[in-house]
Amino acid sequence: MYKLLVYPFSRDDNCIAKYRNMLRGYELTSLVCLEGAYENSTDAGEFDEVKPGLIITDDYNMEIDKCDVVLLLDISFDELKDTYIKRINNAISKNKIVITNKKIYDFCLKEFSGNKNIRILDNIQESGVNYFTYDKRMTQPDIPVLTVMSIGENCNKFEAQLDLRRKFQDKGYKVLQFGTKDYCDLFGFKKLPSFLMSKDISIDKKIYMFNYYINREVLKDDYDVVIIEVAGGLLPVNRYVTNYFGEIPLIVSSALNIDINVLCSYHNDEIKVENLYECRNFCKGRLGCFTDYYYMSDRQFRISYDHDIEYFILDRENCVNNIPVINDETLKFCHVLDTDVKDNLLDSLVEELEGNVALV
Amino acid sequence: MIIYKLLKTPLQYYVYDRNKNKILNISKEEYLELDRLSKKETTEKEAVCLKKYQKCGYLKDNVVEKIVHPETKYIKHYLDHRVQFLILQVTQSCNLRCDYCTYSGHYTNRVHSGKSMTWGLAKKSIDYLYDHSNEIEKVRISFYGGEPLLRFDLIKKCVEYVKEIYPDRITNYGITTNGTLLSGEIAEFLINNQFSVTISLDGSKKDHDVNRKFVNGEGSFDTIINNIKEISKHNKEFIKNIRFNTVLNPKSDYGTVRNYFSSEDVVCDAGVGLSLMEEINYKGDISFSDEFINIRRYDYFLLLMTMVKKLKKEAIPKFMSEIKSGIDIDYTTMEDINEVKRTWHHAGPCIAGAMRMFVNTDGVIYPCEKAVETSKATKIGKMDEGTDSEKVSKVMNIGRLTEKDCKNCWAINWCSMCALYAEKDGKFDSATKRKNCAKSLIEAQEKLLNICVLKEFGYKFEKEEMYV
Repeated sequence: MYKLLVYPFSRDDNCIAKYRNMLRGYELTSLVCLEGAYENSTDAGEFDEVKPGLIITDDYNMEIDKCDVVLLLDISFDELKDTYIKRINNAISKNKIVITNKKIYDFCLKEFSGNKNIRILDNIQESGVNYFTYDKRMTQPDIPVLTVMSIGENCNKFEAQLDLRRKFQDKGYKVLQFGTKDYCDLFGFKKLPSFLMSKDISIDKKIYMFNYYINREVLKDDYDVVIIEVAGGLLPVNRYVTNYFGEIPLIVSSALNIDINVLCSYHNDEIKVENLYECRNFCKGRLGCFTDYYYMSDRQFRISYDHDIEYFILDRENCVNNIPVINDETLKFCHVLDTDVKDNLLDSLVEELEGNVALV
Repeated sequence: MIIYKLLKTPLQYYVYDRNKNKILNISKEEYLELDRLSKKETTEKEAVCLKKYQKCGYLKDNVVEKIVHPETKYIKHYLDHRVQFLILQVTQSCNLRCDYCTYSGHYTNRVHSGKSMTWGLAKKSIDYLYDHSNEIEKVRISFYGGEPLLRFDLIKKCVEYVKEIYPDRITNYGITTNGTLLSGEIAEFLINNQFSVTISLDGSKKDHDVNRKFVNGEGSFDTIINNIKEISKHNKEFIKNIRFNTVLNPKSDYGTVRNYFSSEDVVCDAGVGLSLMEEINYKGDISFSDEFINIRRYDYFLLLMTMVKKLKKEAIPKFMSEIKSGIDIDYTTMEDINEVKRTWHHAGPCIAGAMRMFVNTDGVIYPCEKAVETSKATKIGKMDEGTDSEKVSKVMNIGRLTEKDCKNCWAINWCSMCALYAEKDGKFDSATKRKNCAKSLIEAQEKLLNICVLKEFGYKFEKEEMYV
């Protein structure tokens, strides 16, 4: 078990603390925020009102001695390069391992002359994979395919993923899972292959490649289910914030027949069942899969005067007091902060798959 | 009831539909029919053209039931997590006595005083900003006066404090100064900390000195220009960080002000922003000469002519580019807002205390530096207690003062009034607000007419800049 320090920690990545029991091979020992950050000296559990646990600190120098591994996250890296360099130097001098994403890793390759203590988060490299060995044939895996999509970015998709993972694992199923966060590997699953985001590959080629990639991964073990977190949003917000026009949901849904899609939405206390049916029809029309499971986030967005998208993480109390109630026979709905209803939704989802007819 | 506004140019007829926030090109007969409807000379049932437009979703019944700012229920969130801009009034003293200054004694609300901000208050305000902005990537701190450079010591201390305590928070700094105290040392400090510097300069020596005088009555122009020249000799970067703010007042000679900024070497590389002398709370009457108005209108005419390609781009007079951008923004905003909702509020108010938070020398919090400091109504908190969300709600929901009018006002999406326009004698007052409505309505109508006329002449609203 490696002792893990997360830097720079912010509320955006609170799922690392909230789901720390699910970390595989790591024990979370320190959460270090940027110097002077709002999170400094607060309990990581405070945001979720869970029992007190780790205190977030901005004292990196003190915390570094407690850990074996530093997970270096990418927060304003371009503006704070000097701070990052200081932190990496400190970690290396104390013989700690630094794991980080490709962008920071590539920077470190030059800055630290390929120091072996700096490592890229494992499955980002996708080493040894030759994606061009696919043939032009689409195949469906023999296990159910679950996807977690979202209306836009920053919709608690990763939390939904972890909830699903825990539910399936608790019921004894073996899960093959792909996520979008750089640190998926720490929770024991893989990051979506980077070719999906490539600017140089056509959409149809990406579809074949993804179909090939998933089928190949499914065959590597005796999995019961594959869960795929689909990066980005389903559709443009407006003409300035386009969510890549929903390219990745289109690729994933074209590459595989989706058995169950969970759609994460922004917090909206005025949502009505008709709105969810609109989403259901949209998903059927655009992606070819019905969406009967809805997971509402505690986040919202606004479009700024400069046409940028800005995200809000709503206060827990504000959200909890305004969770909409959706009662419908077909559609299942939960809110990320409503543990009981969420659990019921996850149970229904597993039951739906368990109740499927078995085809040979 | 259908809310619309009829518009007419010499060539064409239009109707602006408030529900959809769109302008429709209509026939003369339809215009006359809708005009009769607005005068209640006919009924909605009898108005034949309505069917045609309603079939396409336009000119339907008013949907606004309640005047409430859409962000009202998130005010606390904004105040707790999204404060983005702190303006510190580091002093109320000034070494100038400009005739039109809001502290000059010509306004009902402010006078010069010797009050200065303490380090303790400045520090507390800075801590407050960072404690309440965790969702904001880049915050901004600006120093305001009086003349803020009279407290350069405090400004330096604030910046050093931020660097020491909040080194990883991305912070932009700004200062609004009269430029008379700018020395090489101060300039170097401002450049090293990437300050954006706004210097008040009203044009040529003659135009500037007529209003902007030292306490002894001497003009301040020479001092400012000499300071800038001296700094520019050693530091070429400085001028790039400067923006001049020019206040047009009844004594201004618009033509010479414009020519000065176009031709004078020392200043022509810097950006220039124009503002008209503040009217709110002015004791006297502010009226500009016919000559001033005519030259400005002619410049505006030249701008429109370049926009419709009757003149070359080079003919756009200085100061008019910002107006062009404003017209383009008006059009894109109209494209982006496609509907009004059941609970709605007129445009104008910002999220007071979050988008800007002005802290005066006494530690009282106001929505911005333009707020009336003697007014209880615009006071939204005290630094000891923080910003009060109830008070912010009142400031933001200023439309409730005139709820009945606003619900049925065609210009709800084009209104430019915030709480400052509704304040009188320390209270929000519906009569004061209504008085200002008239001006806001004229401005809104002009904007819509501009759009119609420019369209008629084939203007593409930024598209040509993007694609050709």
